[in-house]
Amino acid sequence: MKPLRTHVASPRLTLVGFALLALAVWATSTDPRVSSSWIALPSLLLAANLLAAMTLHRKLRRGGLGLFHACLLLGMVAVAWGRLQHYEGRVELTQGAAFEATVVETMSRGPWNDGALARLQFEQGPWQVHYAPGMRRAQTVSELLVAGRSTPQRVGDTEPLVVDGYRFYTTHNKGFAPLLRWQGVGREAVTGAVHLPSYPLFDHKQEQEWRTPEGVLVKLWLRLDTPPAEQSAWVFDPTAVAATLVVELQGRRVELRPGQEAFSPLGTLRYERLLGWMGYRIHHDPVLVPLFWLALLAIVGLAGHLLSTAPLRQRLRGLFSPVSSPAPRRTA
Amino acid sequence: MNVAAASSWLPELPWLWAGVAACVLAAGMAWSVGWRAAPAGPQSVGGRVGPPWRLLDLALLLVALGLALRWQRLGHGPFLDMFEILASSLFSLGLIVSWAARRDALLRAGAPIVLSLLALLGLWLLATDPADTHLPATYQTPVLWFHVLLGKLFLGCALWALGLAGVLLLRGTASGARAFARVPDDTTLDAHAWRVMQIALLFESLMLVAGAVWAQDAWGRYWAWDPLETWAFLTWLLLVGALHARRSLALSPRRCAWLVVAVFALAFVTFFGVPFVSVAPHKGAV
Repeated sequence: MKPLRTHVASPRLTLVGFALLALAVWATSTDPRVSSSWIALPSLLLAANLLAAMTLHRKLRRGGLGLFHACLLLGMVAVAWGRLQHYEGRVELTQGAAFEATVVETMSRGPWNDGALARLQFEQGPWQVHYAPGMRRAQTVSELLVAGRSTPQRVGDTEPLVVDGYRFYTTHNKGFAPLLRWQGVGREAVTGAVHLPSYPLFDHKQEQEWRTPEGVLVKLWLRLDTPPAEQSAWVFDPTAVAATLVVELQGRRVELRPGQEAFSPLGTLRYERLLGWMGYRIHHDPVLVPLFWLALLAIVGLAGHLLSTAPLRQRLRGLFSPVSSPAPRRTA
Repeated sequence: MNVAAASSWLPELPWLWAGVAACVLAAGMAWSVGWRAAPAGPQSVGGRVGPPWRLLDLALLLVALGLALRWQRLGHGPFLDMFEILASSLFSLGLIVSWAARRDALLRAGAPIVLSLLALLGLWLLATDPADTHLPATYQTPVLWFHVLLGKLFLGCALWALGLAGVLLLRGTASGARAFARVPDDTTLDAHAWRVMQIALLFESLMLVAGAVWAQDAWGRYWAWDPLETWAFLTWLLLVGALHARRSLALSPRRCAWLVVAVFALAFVTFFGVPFVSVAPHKGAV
């Protein structure tokens, strides 16, 4: 009777594992109800199969093939380790405001995540988004001031901010944030920015509601003096936009320009100036860089294995020099 | 879609269409030359490229001119919509097989299959909207070049192997047996096709890694199972599975040739089918 290891190392089991993995990938991509964690099961089966095969067959753990297989196994371990510690989230940052982990919306978080996000310190600086004619988004440039760094860091598009392994990517999500100061009667003044819906995606409804600390409902609309022309290139810089803030305070409608105030029996609302908010996607995976090198090393191993087989080496040599035919004939 | 641009005359179109016409002509010529019964004699294939391959070179030149004009006009390479993907693939795959045919006499026998596939891409191009495209900022990175180049090299190698496997399979018919009588035996063809497929595996693996690097920088994730990522991974899996099956199940050359066809078909669907279900090559990722 064959030992268990021989069964686990069976090349037929490898093929079954491939088929199951393909099925799991296909199922998770076509049916949103199927969790992507189903991909882990055939991956584990293939890992066990490979590990058993490597212990049984010397050729699978030697040379380029051995390097390829070792990197595959280590890569799977790295992916699993990364998932245990990963973090995915998103946040909207107001110009001039410091990053606060408490306002981050967590998308997914590994059970062993280090929680270092809460310790990150940086501030949103100015940002601009360039648009090509036809309202097509081009370059995004956002400046971030990181604690301990002397110069602001410019990020955007393919350049994230990386702080303590956490990567912040600008997104298409951004908009206006009017800076308001509310002075309640007999209370201390509070200052803050209200994020309006993403612009220009929701240019038709630049409105928002906000409640003062006393519970007074304030309705806000932003009306741009000159909306951007669709067929021209333009730059979205919220601080350079001239606009009127229309405020509805306790049933009274007031139009404010920066520096103007709206009064009510319960307090005074001052429209300080127009700022912007930028949406970021946050990604943390401690094995990102090791995984890249493992993948490259695996391919180097595979290439080494393929080149070490004599027929291929001869064939490759042949590929780079014209073939001389023993008996020419007319062919296509 | 820029309807205005689509409906106006575009300077690159005459060159591209002329290139497609030359390509279709090359395919037709390959069938008329290659499908003739081979004269009696020892097993071998010709030493020089025939007229269909030279016509393909002319087609590539015309397509290259068309692509260059479009590139100059729009200010970016052909990376975005179906029209650009088809045009750039026609050029790059044609270039790869043209180069390979000068070095691989066996591939020259597979001209009817290889050139027909290129003609199919060309005819498809004629039916595709040539509207102007806008290159998103996330595409403006050198990593994209590596990713696309490696993808073309992968598909080019797969097409090369398909040409060899096609000869093997066509030889199963009476006409094919006569036409390819002097091409070396099935075992030789099969071994050669799978050597090329091994090179294809290297390029596809590198393409996936380059794609993951690009995705991480552009969209903050290295892998998200978007349609193109999913189908590219399934293609990689099928190729790896086919290589394992070939070794462990001791399959006949004909079955191995069908595996080449299956891998190429899946790769073809990934490259040219997924854009049907996805507005951009990577859906929602622009």
